[in-house]
Amino acid sequence: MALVLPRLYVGWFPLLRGVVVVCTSVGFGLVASMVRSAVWPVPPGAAADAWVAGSIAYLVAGAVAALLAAAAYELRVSSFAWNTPELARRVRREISLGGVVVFLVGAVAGVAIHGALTGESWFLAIAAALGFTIGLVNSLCRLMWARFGGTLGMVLAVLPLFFMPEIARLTASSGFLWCMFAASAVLVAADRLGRVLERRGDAPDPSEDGGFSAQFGLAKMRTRRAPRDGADGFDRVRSSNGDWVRALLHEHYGVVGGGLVGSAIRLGLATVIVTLFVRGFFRALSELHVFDATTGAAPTPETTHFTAVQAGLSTFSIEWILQPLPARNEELIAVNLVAVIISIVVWNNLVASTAFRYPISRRRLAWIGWLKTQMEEAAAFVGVLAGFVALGFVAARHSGGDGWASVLPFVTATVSVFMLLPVLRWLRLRLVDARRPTQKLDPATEMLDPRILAAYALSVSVIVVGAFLLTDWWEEGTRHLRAGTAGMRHVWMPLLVLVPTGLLRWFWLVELRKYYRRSDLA
Amino acid sequence: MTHDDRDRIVLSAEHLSKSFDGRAALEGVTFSVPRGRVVGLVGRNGSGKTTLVRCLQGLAAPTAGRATVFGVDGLALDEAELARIGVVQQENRFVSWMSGRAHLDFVRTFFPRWDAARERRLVDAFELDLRQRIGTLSPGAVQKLAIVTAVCHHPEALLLDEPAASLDPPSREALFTTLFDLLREDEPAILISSHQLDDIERSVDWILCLEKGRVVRDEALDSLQERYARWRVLPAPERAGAGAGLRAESFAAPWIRSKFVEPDGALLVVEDAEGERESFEARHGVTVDSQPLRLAEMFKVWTSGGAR
Repeated sequence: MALVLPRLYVGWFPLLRGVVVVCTSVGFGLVASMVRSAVWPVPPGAAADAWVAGSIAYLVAGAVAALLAAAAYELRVSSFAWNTPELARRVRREISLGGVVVFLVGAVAGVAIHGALTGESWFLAIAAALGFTIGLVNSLCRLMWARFGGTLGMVLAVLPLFFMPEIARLTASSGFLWCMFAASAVLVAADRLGRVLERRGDAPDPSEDGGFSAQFGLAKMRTRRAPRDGADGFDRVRSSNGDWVRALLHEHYGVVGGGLVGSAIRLGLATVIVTLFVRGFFRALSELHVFDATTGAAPTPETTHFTAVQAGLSTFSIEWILQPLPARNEELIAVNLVAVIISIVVWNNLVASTAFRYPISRRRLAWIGWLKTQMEEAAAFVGVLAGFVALGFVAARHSGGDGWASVLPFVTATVSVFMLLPVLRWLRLRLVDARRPTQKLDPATEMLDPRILAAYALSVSVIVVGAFLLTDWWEEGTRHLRAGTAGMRHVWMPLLVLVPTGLLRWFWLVELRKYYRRSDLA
Repeated sequence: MTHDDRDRIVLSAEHLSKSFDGRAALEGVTFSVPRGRVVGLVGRNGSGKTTLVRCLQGLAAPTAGRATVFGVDGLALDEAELARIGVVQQENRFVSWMSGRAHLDFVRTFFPRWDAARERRLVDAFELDLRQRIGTLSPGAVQKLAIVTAVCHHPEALLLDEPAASLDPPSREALFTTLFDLLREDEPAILISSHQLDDIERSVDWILCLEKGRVVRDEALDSLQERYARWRVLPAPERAGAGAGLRAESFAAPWIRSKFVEPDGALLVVEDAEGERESFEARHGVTVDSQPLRLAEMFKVWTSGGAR
């Protein structure tokens, strides 16, 4: 009898989804290792090796569970599934089978590593069972292993990775008992997901509850963020462009959580926190010569061992993080980091800029949409820049004035990225929004649509490469200007920033007008 | 209901009630559908039609009473019974990246009685392009695919919730032709919920009308058409000549369900009034032209919408 769930991965579309799940799993591994290294370093040796092996087993099992659950979910929301004979039972059986397989592979790998069936050899099977169970539970709890922005689901997935060395220590004694416990958890989670598929009694009706979004808690999230009736306090007939922009911003951001300003503040804070961790991590790699920070040369063989990296990370401290990295490497990190963070925010916000319908002309819609994007960019720019300035201030206090140097590349990168943001918006407009004007906008579905993710990856890559080249060009230009007169420098530098910024924004306005003039609207 | 009918009951509800957060969607609904009967489920928006269909499928748990299919409580339907049911939901959702062909190939492997010839016939009748991805199909095409999915395994009970809502007239025609073919071949019990009352009137033999969660009519369409009539009331020729006006406000009787007064006469919707006609004409000095009443007009009477 043919398996059901693998048939839902035939074709390039679901296979791309598989790539997304794998990338997310790798991301979980990176986040967990960075955070753990920063706050509670693992000493090199057996504990670190167990951490790595356990994490790999956990992530592979979690990814398998996420893939199975995603396929099962597609069936669950299909209207034909409930009365298709054997479907729910076969799906349940296949999910259980998947759990058993990853568990057994973990057990065999454990025995292969340790050479005998000991308490420690069961650890990999336990880690795999844990990963599989959490991968399934994430799907059951209306969250998803492979969904961006599902904070609770992410925490649930990352926590066991964080505590993997402790889990290894805990399960070293009575390994077999823990193993049985973990195997039972796999079977219970698989059975539970299978039963949810049966949709008995008060099953949500996809047509009534908003389908995918509501299933995954997204509708609730949007409702929470949405403004209350009359909360914008507007009490006259809207007429000016400012009125409509205000309406649009209100509709999108609302007043909960500080609206647009609150969103910019949160972006600034997030940027600072992520920068600290990323700088620390890359600094450790640089210190250990995993790559040569000054020349980008290939690593030396003796420095690439993982435990050596761990040793370096264990010296993590705030002063150490804030010390300047060699300039070339710092620029690379800065551009990548800033570009990706800001791109995610802008990408997700763009939907509302091209999908709104007010009772005004198309030309005016384009103008208002453009104004809204400018306000968003300005707010985000100020938020991120304020974060870096604050970081620079802290760095300056710690290192007696030189700390500014460690955040300066980030400021340059921020300016470069903001210059290029209209390109990101334009790519999204062309690659995504213009291609599906009449489809319902569902951010949750969008996050699982591999074609949109591919368009996103392409757009972000363009921005990252573009921002890097721009920063490089900037550096080069500055070097030449240093040789020139001060007067020239004062004229040239603002031009270097303002002219491309203005031109790209004008280009975005032209494109938006073109879009609104000729395209089908949502 | 005859004894024979009772033995052939496929769909039924007994004192079925369902509430959502204290708000009653269904209240004491009782009805039954034997094999080979086509029941039109009608009612205004929010009257409980979809909830009733979901209770029958076992997708919604009754607050009180029970809904059964093949004599089995909806919540207890097992796989063998579910496989004998065909359903078209109001909003159908499929795996969006699959083509129509891939979808049908996927579904057919679960049904031993899948009828490939019927599938081909319906796909042709609906002019469905099975090469297209489901996510790119129009709502009407998705509805057609849902109908094909629901009927090709020879279901013995067919639950259709607004199946024609997104269909164009030729496709609606094809749908109702399909239903008649099904009746001829399999004799399933069919419950079809719709606001397209003209379509319902053409294709069903029984009407179940819900109003605010209660059954207000559960009767054969033939019987309803016999019992209800529209009377066009005009002054008798001898009185018209005398210049006496029509005193429509005096037309009052329990069998008059609604009245509409016009300058030169009145329109009455009457129920079980065939025996009253002569005495009415004599009492009020009028002539009555009796015409059959359309289902849409009956519907207005049952659902307090007034009638003209």
